[in-house]
Amino acid sequence: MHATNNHARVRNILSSRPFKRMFGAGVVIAMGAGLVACSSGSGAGSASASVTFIGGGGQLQEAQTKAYFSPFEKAKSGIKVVQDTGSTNPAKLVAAIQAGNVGWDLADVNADFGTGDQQKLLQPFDCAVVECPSGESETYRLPLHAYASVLAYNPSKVSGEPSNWADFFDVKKFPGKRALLKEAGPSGIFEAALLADGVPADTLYPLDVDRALKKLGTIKNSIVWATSPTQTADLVAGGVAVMGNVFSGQAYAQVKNGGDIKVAWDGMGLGVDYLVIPKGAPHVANANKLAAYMTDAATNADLAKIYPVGPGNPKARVDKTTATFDFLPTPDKSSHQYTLNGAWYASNYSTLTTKFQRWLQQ
Amino acid sequence: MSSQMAPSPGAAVRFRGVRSRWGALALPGAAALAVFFVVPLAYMLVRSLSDPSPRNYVEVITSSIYLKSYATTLLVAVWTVVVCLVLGYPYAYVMARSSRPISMILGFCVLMPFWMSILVRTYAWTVWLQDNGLINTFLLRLGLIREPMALMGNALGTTVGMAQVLLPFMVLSLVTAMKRIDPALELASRSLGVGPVRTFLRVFLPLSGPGVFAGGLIVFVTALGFYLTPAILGDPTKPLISQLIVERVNTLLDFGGGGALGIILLVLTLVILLIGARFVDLKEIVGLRGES
Repeated sequence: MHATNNHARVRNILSSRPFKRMFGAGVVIAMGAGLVACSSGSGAGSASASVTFIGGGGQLQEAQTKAYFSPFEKAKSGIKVVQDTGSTNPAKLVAAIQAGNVGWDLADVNADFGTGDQQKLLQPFDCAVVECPSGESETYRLPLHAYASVLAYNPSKVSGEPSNWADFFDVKKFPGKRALLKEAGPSGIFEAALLADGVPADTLYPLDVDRALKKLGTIKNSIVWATSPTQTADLVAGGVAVMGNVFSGQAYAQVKNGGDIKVAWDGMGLGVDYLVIPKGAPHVANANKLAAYMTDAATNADLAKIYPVGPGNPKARVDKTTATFDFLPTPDKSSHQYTLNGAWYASNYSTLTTKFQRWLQQ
Repeated sequence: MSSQMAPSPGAAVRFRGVRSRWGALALPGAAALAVFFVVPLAYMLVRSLSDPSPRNYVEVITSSIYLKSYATTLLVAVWTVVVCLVLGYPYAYVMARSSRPISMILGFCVLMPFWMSILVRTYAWTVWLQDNGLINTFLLRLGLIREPMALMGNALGTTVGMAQVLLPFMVLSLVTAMKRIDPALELASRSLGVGPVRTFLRVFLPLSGPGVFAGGLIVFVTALGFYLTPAILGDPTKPLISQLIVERVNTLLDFGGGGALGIILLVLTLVILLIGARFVDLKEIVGLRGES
């Protein structure tokens, strides 16, 4: 009975004139707001004076904003740099490009993205605007910055001083856990295993995956797996592992925070991030202009001053007095260095992943 | 107990009249579900069959990697249900049988983790469980162990993390069922000379059965899809299926294969729900039947 009365009351309210008027007004306001939102959204997107950059996020992108985007906006009189994050997840890029709904003009991607068949997903750079690598047809990707996959250790936890990958795999001489990134990708763990097993640095590719996994198997019980590059460095600096395969930039960040971590540069793997223009990007011309600024020999190394990655342009110079210099992947630091071959990964992911998973589950 | 009183025919008609108008209120939600859930799901199904071909399914079903992973996923889900039940049953019993303020405090405590991000909670567990975490450091200092124990990076870590996230579902299902048990039944049993243990085993436990099944089913089915917790706390050598789906899509950019893995998980879940429906009234889980 009581309930029925309530329902009746509610029904009266719903059908009352004031309510209807209020409701109607609400709908109009909501629609108006929607229109405003739509128009402002498309306004920002279609105005020719903007360029949307998608990066990996985090501290790197903050540093890119300071080193590149703010000065670019000032220099290029009013091309606004709009930012998004998530470019390190290539699935997101591929899905958007395949759906023909790309909101980005320029993307910072890892070396394993944008070679071979994937070039169909990209818009080539305009070599009249950007400085294309000489003698290469590779106008689809511009090297942006370089980082290093290195051996890092915790000096107060490890007995002695490991200096190369052979030491990394020697659990008798250097007892303790090893931190590795659990990813069948270009983080350097397969290369490290092969270098430790005696493969010369210049004949690493194509990787002998079976041999690498066999070598990794010799320390399998001593491995602590990390799920992100930050965590790998964290495990070493925090002392959970005595050493690990980390990216030099992560080691730098740990040192900045007072972490206990040192880098052994022998057998460093040089990784390169690239700029690409997704096919269907709304502002290709502006993307070329921004890319030209970011990769120019004069400005490309500006990032290195505030973030520990080296310039991607070989003509760009870093000063030895820069704060990050000790953590930059410069050639003088390392013997037996190699370059992480993104193209090899891109075309071998399927077998590599299967073998790696099978090895993990053994 | 069954509080669904049959309304008089007239009231029913009126009730229905009101309800049909109220039904319009569900439209935005239904539209959102259709656009953001049903359509993508259908798209995923099509893509799993067409990108490049239905061979995706053959590949998955014939690969030991994926079969093992489905088995691990089911096993971890079973363990999670067991842990939730062992921890949740006594808790729910106290909650259902205590005075209102205490029951409310207990309810608040069980719901509190809901208001914290799963990511934060899962990383918080690493502070406790890792080799130089609180538990191992404490035990090492006391001299009870000489080497740190592996508390995470294995099935233990996954189960602990997942049980914490899913415990509220179990407790709430149990409490709902237990509150429906008339305390007079236990009193009657005691007054007939039956001891407290036998009264619990013969009267309370069977009557709480629906809650156990409902809670178990909801925890089990939810556990099948967990990604973050096993990725952070789990055994890297025994990935759950969600981790392999992410790898397939994110690293291999194989949307068809990833879709096939997802569809198989969905079918598996539906089959389990169907089997579960023989023991549990599914309407109870989705809230269509409750105390009105």
